[in-house]
Amino acid sequence: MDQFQLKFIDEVTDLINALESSVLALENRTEDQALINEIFRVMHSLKGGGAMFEFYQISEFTHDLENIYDKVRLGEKKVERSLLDITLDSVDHLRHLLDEELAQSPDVLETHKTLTKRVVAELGEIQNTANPSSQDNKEAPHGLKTYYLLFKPAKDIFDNGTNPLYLVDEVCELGKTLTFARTHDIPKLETFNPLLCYTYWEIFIQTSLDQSEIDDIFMFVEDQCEIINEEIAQLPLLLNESFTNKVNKNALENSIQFNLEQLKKWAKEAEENTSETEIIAAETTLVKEKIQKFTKESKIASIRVTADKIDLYMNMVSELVTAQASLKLFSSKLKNTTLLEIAENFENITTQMRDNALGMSLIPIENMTMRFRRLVRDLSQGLGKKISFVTEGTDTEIDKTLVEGLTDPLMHILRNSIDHGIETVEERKKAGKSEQGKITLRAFYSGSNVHIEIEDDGKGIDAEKVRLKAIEKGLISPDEKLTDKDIFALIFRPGFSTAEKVTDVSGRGVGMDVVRRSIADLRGEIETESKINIGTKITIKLPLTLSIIDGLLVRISNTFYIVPLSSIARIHELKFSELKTAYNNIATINDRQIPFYLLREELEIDGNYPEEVQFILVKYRNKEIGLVFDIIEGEYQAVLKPLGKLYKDHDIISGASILGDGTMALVLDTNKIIDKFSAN
Amino acid sequence: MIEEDKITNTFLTFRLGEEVFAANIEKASNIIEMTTITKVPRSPDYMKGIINLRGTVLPVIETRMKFGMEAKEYTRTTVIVVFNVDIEGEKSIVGAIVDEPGKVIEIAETDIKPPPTVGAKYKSELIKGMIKTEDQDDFIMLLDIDKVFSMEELLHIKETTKEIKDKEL
Amino acid sequence: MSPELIKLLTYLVVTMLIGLPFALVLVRIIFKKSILTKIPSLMLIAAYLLSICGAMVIYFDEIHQIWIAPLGSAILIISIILMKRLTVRPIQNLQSKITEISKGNLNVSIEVDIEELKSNNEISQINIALSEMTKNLKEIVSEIKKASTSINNSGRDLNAGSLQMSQLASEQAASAEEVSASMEQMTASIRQNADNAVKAGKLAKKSAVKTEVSNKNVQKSTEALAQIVKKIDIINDIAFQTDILSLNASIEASKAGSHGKGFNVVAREIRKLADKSKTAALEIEKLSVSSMNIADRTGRISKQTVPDIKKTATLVLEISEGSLEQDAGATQVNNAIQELNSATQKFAAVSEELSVNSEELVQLGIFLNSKMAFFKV
Repeated sequence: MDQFQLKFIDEVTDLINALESSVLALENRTEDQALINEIFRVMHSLKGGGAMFEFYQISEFTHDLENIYDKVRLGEKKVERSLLDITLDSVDHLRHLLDEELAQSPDVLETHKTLTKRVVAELGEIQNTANPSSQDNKEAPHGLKTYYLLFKPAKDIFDNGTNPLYLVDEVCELGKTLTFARTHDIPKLETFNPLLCYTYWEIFIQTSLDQSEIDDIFMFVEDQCEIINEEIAQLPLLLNESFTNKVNKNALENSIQFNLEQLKKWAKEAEENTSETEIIAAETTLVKEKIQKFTKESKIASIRVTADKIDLYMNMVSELVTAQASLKLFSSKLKNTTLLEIAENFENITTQMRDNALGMSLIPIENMTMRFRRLVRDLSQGLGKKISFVTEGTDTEIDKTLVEGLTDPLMHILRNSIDHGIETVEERKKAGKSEQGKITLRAFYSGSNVHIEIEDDGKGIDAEKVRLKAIEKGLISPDEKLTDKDIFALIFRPGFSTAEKVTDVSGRGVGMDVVRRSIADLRGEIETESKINIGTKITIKLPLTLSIIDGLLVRISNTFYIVPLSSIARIHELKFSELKTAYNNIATINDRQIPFYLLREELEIDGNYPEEVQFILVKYRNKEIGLVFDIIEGEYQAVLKPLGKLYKDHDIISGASILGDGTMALVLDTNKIIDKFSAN
Repeated sequence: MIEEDKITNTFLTFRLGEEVFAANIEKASNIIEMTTITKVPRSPDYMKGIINLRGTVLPVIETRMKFGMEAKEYTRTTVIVVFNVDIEGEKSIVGAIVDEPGKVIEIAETDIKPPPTVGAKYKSELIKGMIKTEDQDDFIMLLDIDKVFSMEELLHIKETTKEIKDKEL
Repeated sequence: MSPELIKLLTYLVVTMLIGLPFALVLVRIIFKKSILTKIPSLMLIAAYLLSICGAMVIYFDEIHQIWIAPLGSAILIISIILMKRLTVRPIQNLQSKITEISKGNLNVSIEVDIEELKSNNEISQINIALSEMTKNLKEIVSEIKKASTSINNSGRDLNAGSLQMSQLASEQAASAEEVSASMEQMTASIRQNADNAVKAGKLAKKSAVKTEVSNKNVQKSTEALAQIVKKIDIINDIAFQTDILSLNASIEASKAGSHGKGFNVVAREIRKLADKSKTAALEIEKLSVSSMNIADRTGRISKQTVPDIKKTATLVLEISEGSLEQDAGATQVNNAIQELNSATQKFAAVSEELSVNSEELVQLGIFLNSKMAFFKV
């Protein structure tokens, strides 16, 4: 979590910079919708990110700003001098809030208050009649609440492999906690069964999160446990010494569990004798501690590096790998032993450097999926739908820089799927589907890209409805002829939303255009496939920043190809004459029938195969299919480079790699190749 | 503003067969010598393949074929002009094989004549104008590089050349 | 008839039939086949006859005695004549023959009649021997005569020959001397020839080496030219690259707007320079290609020349070797001629001697001839 927070600081700095330049640009072009959208998106991201990474000041502060710009976006408010001034002041303030020391200085705290007032005033000005009190007075400005949690796992909880301590740890990560492990149920040794769980826990949690988020942690074990989750105060009670003393004393004196009523009484007492300022002070100390902790750690463990520099580093590493390949080639040609040694050494260093670079930049997609799982659960429960969330290929690694940018769009897509895609239980029954809907998140490599698919088996998108809506919104003319693909692409246009009513789940009006823009910012692409009543599949294709793959260098005639090692199952050397006579392109190898493709023919390469050909078995949808090449040159660390827009539709080649002598090798996307050939 | 004019009025010329074309200097990235081109299988003939341009992949187009001329052997003067092209709103680089590089010329706005609408060899939307200079007997055709190299236009030209060929036959 | 007559007659008959043959056989046995046998035999016969006559005188009256006396006398006379005839005559005959022979007349015919041969007496024996002797002598003498004549002739011939020979020998000796002299001259020239050949061979070798060096140089220069052409290629490439570079610079300069203007000029100048160097390179290329061709040709020719010269050198060497051999040969020949010369001189002397000797031989032949004239054949 810490490194993400740090990452967040980096990202927010970028966002704030972007925001500043956008605001300045807006000063000259007050009508520029794109700029307004951009500012709004930044606000949105700041708000979401702030909350997620516990920068509550930022989160709260941008919340109101976002609301203002939402109005501006919708044309309910004009861009005026006062607004721009506030925004620019806010930009400066946001910068201060990010700085650990400044954030705590009285000046900044003062500015925080005045600015918040100004923003609220600005907002109030807009919605004077509509919603005079947009702020819930009851809501604690600090947002920290204290919960009491009793977690009493069933005695046989070990049986299904659950470690309750992990769950406790997870709870502790939500905020400041005070945990009591109750062990009085443990029997005497003669009756003790080591396979049973006798311990239970009582935890006081001080967090800004909702109660439900605590519940989420126990979503898989709630049937097997006794869980009591109560909000005992809308205060950070754990900062109140009299309360904690009472709790500790009680726990020491009575080894049995707390009386909930008693706790609430203590809480009320504590609430009464705690002043607002104390709370805020306490709270800020907390934040300070936290940030100091990060900074301390970061000073030792890491440094801040901009994404550009990392990108440059990655590119340099790629170039180095290429340069190393040429060094290897020429040193082996020269046959100078000293040089060969140096080259070998150089190769080792390069490989380490590459792995290091990959480690620096890559992270498995799994890290994101936990959040999605909870989201699916929360939302489906809220909407009264039954949905199972399945993930595939979560070990697929993507660039770290992509993770943050991907979370929001993926959340959004998931929300859409849950909200609009999957039907209610009744609807599903009517449609003859199983009660439980299914959302699949699938990640895999395809050539130099990472594909992330989100597929649901819901009602699908009605292309006609989309078309009509687009016409209504004036995005297309009524007589424009469009393919389904084109129509689905309309979903990603700004200001497009098909939901008949804006729900609180996916309502906001920040539609798929934000998704598309976020993906485009990551140099990715997004595509939609949908069939009514069958489901929708949204595919996000992302290029790998550092795409060095371990490949097999093969050759047909003079052209080099690289087959990713990950897709190769096996290699055989066969006689071409055997394949030539094979019926229906099916070869029999070790008594197995294996379909194959003669790549020379399929790729329309002139010339004939040599007598000895290389039969490479590649994995394809749980099958193995043979691809026939002339010669295998050997393993090769291929630095993948995209072929460019001109070859955009040419997806059987996922990229090119520069070999040691400067010639190009084409990286084959075996999945696409087989797709294509089998279609033919 | 004067500077901007300079940019828009500066062109890089190159020769294809007997004809001289010009492209706005803004579009030209640089010129490189002919090198070995790796053909991408199953791509159209005029898409010559890819080369290694200082570590990046540069797709190379056989411009002669694109303009409906017979492909011929490369000579010493054959070069690849690297153009910055907007393809579907995205900036890309494309290498164009030309018979000979020309020079960088500055042309006054008044010297650029509108393209002929009738009897033109090439699709009129590809030609931005005609340039006539003192030391040039023929007109130089000023190309709209984005259109010439964008994907749709490739198809158009292919069809056009086919039509021309069909007419010739 | 009286019994006295019958007694006489019986006596006569008995003596005649028994006495006389007996006596004769006796004589024969004693004298064997000698000519002298005839004498007693005749005397016996005569005695017998005379005895008869005496018998008759007694017996017969005087009337018959008148005629007995003559008859007896006649018997005596006849028997003497017969004696002479039968013995003296052959001896006389023989004697005349021998006399004749001693006189050197070997032509005497010594006929031995068959009677004589039959008698096989001493005379006939002598006659036969004599005849044999004369015959042999005659043969010998005529042989000698013939030989002496031929000796004479040969001697004469020999004399003439030896004279001629001696003359020829002196002539030959003179010529040999001449040959020897010329031979010596020839040897000298051959020696010079050999020396020259050796020198020529050395020179040829040197020139072969030099040609080879020059050939190598030509080759090197061809290579150098080829390299120049290659380098020209590089220059060309550089010019071309500079061209492209200047174009790229122009492009960049144009993009820099007015700031790039100056640079653009520079880029153009660079381009002009590149063009100039391109043309210069082209000219150099042309020149070097043509000189390369020349050098190539020269190289080829000199390459061909080298083996020729080498061949010449070896040939000249062979000649010099040949000359040396010839020199040795000539010396040998000269020596031979010298030897021949001295031999000829010796021969001349010998033939002169021979001429003298042959003269003597002729004289001897003549002498022999005259001596042999004694014999008449």
